[in-house]
Amino acid sequence: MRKKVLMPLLLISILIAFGIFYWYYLAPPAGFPDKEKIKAILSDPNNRVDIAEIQDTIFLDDKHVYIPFITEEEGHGISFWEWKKHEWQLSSFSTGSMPQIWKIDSDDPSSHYIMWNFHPENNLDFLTFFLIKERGFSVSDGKEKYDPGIQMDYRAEVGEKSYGYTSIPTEWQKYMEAENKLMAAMKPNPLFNDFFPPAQYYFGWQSTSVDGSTEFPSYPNMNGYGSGGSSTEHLRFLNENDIFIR
Amino acid sequence: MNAPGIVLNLVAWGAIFILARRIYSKQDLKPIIWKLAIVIFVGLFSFSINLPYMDQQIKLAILPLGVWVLYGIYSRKDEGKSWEKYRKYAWLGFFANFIFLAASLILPLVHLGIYPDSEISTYISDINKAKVIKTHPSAGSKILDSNSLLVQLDSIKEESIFSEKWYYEAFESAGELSKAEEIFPYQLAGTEAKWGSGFETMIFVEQDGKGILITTGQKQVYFRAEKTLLKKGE
Repeated sequence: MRKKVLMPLLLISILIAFGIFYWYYLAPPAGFPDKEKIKAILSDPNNRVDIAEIQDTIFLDDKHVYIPFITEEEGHGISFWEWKKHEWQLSSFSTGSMPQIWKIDSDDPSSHYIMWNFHPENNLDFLTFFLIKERGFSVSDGKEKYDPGIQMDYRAEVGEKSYGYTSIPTEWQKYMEAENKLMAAMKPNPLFNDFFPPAQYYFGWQSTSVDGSTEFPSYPNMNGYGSGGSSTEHLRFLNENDIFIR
Repeated sequence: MNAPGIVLNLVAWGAIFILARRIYSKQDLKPIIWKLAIVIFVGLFSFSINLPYMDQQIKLAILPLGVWVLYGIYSRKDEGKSWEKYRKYAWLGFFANFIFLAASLILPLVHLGIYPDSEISTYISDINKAKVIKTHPSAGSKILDSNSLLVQLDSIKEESIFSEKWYYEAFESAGELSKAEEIFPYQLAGTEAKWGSGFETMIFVEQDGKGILITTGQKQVYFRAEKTLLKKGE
């Protein structure tokens, strides 16, 4: 008698578990919220961004959206939205004019995007993005290791719009894939340098204005702020001294 | 995938299985088989120290923590009869640490036999998708000369690494770290290491196209070819 009740109960709970799993992780994304809703989320007490204008809604893929915006103080910001747990969530935002990289899938460099948004007053002509790793060497227990310096660059035109985005060049992707795999292979026995973690590559940027200046594009002069998880990263601003120029 | 590692691991588990069977067949009071398996697993737990051995770490088990836990559980049951049934399996679990230790002592030797670390073909075996990428602006506009690489693959010799010299030479001529020319400004991407070696490689090519610097998770090796591996790009 008890078994007769138990079996259907078990079946039903398995079905419910599958249903919940499907709902949270597999169900196709719902329509993206309208601009008013986006504005409301960005300006709620947690985020406190005074939005003047939502500039665009750019689908990077069907679950990841890039929204550039302008604040009441003329700050030009960027925000990343993600379909997660059956909900469109704000995963990161920044009002500071600094380009950011969004690593949608951290293991797959082809899913990484660089985004920017600069006030038109800066008169930018183009941006240059860099993939950089410092040169290094180590000698321990008679074992030598030399780490070649890496500096790869990519030029992105600024154009009419204040905002833009680009995926990572395929050559960067090839380098990053090899480097990521090597780092993973080194983990169980932290190689030659027993005291220092191995150097990591990072991303940098420079801007060139219409008159040829590579000064930091500082208009409007205000402190930006933002919040976000580990999947986003600010690019480092690079001076002429920081890079190798042929 | 480290094929020799997987095979040796299977051999080690096979040895544990055979030993467990021998204990089982000699017992009058037979234990329950699934419990016996768990006892072996728990017996494996130990306090151990890591020692360096041929570019890797090996684990030397010292204190049989798992055996102590099992003793604590079983010695009070059935006036010790239960412990009598499972004691040998618990110790087999601890002993298994040394079977794995033996395997990890043999592994580098076997691996070196199959995949010699001073031969470039160990690290570069499939070059069908190979491509040279400029990883530094001091590189010229060269591309990979696949034929040159293919023809020379058996004759390229290992040489010593002069990491400190390479680092400071470039640095001194430029005066500033970021302005120094890079000695290895190309990456050779898309190659495969020999099947089953388990090597993940990062390969750089020297400015003259003749030097190849290969980094794996364990070590770094440097090779020099007679003729350049690069040719003029379009």
